[in-house]
Amino acid sequence: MTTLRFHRELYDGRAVDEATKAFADHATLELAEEPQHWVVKVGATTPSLERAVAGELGNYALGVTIRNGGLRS
Amino acid sequence: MMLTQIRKPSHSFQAFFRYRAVADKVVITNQEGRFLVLTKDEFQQFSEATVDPASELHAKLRDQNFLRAELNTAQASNDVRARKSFANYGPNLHIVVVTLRCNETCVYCHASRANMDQTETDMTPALAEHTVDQILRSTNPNITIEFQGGEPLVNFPVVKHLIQYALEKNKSVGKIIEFTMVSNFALMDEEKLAYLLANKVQLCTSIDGPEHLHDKQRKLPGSSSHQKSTFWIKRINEAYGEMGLDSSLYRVEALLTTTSETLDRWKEVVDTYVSIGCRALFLRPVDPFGFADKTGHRVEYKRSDYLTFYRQAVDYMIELNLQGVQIIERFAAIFLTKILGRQDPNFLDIRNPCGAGIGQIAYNYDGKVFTCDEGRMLHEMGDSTFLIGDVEKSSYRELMGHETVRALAIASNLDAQPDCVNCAYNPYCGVCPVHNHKTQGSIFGRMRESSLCAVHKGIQDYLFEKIASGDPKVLEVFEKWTTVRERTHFIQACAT
Repeated sequence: MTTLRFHRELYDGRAVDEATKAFADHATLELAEEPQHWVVKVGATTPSLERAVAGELGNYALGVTIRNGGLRS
Repeated sequence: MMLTQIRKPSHSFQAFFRYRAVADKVVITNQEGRFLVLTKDEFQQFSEATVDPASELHAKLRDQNFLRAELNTAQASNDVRARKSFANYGPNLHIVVVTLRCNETCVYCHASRANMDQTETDMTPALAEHTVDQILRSTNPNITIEFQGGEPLVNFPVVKHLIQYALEKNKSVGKIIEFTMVSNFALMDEEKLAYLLANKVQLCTSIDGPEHLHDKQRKLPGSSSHQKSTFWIKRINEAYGEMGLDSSLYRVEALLTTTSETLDRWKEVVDTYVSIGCRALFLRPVDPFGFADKTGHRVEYKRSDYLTFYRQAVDYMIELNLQGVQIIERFAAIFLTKILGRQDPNFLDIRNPCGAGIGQIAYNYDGKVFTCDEGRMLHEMGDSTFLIGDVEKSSYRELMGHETVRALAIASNLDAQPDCVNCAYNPYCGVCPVHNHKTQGSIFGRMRESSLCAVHKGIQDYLFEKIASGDPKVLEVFEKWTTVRERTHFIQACAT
């Protein structure tokens, strides 16, 4: 299982949610919250799929954060 | 201009360009970083696409790839590829903080140094080995390991251990390794120096100008920190000579941190550097990290005042060069190498995208890994946003693909950054997302209000004013400043 840790100072929580929903059909995704991070655990049927989903989900979350104008307090 | 004129095909129609007024001229640059300095009349002809195809101006524009009809896309792509070649490799600079302890107290200490009795901030030999293991996983064939602190000489046994372990381990890895150390030299002795010279460790120190100013800003209990530093600068330069190294190339590098007290002393600063045998001076402004965050009211200043200081100091350095004195200013050399030399010297703080994670990594004394030294500095101030892993637990892939590294690469991409995307200096510049985060609360920053942007833009304005003035003697000095001479002595013998 791959763990992605999105720092709350850099990533919009709603963007992480949206990215998780977008990739929900491709892997098992578990969302968790830590004081400083949004955490997404990615599990897939093969290591290469897991790596690909983790990478793309990360890019998606970053893209949505930027599209939304960065962080909203 | 009439709309019909825009629609009319023209041999003078512009290819992509950016522009900026500098003094009474206009600088135009293109995507690949070629530039021209035009008079206002020439710029009007260019912008209206009315340049006579038989004119000298047309030939200049064509040769520098500013005309759409004759655009040399192969040349443009080769230029961009060459400028961005650093993006093919991975982190080259690996900053290792072997201890946070320091024997000096600097008024602006960016590293948030620890007291000499805080031995818990020393890196252990075991962590040093894990750090080397992590460093040698880099995809970059060239590796620079930079010892920092605190003061690295405080934990010299671990410095030695790390060097020996790295050299041994590299026998099977085959990287091209260099070691550098940033030290205040106050704890240097002949035995340590002999070891560092024998192991080809490049040495760098800080000189804040004349003795009274340096000692006021960098306090060494019971002694003059300036006298210690300058003694060892001279001794090390002498030792390089004894080793048969070219004295014009092998010199101790020293860095200046400019505070409010430095601004009026530009001549004293330059004269001090020349008198102690330094051939380079880096006129760095103070950063908002570490103790400088708290002492800002004493050490900070308006960036317009810094730029006046910069212009006075560099004018004087040019004057000295014209009299035969060899002294270069590092900021100018970095920008001029990009502007005139059409190369990127891979200075990680002025790079697009910046070096955070993908060009440099910082390893703290406790094994924590950061995107860059600035990120580590913020961690010491209580903000761990740029912490990306641990030398014992994180894989290289986890570090490079880390969500924070991705965010910084995007945030420092000038081609997606408001203002930077339209700035004439885009091909030569770089932003620091960690600086943006600290000063503006967003890694993307707002360049109109950024003190870093003001400095970079102001320095490039100055350089382009000099280029526009066309003084052949000044241009000759600038050409010399862009000449990169490899210090091959410091490259460790490679096993493969």
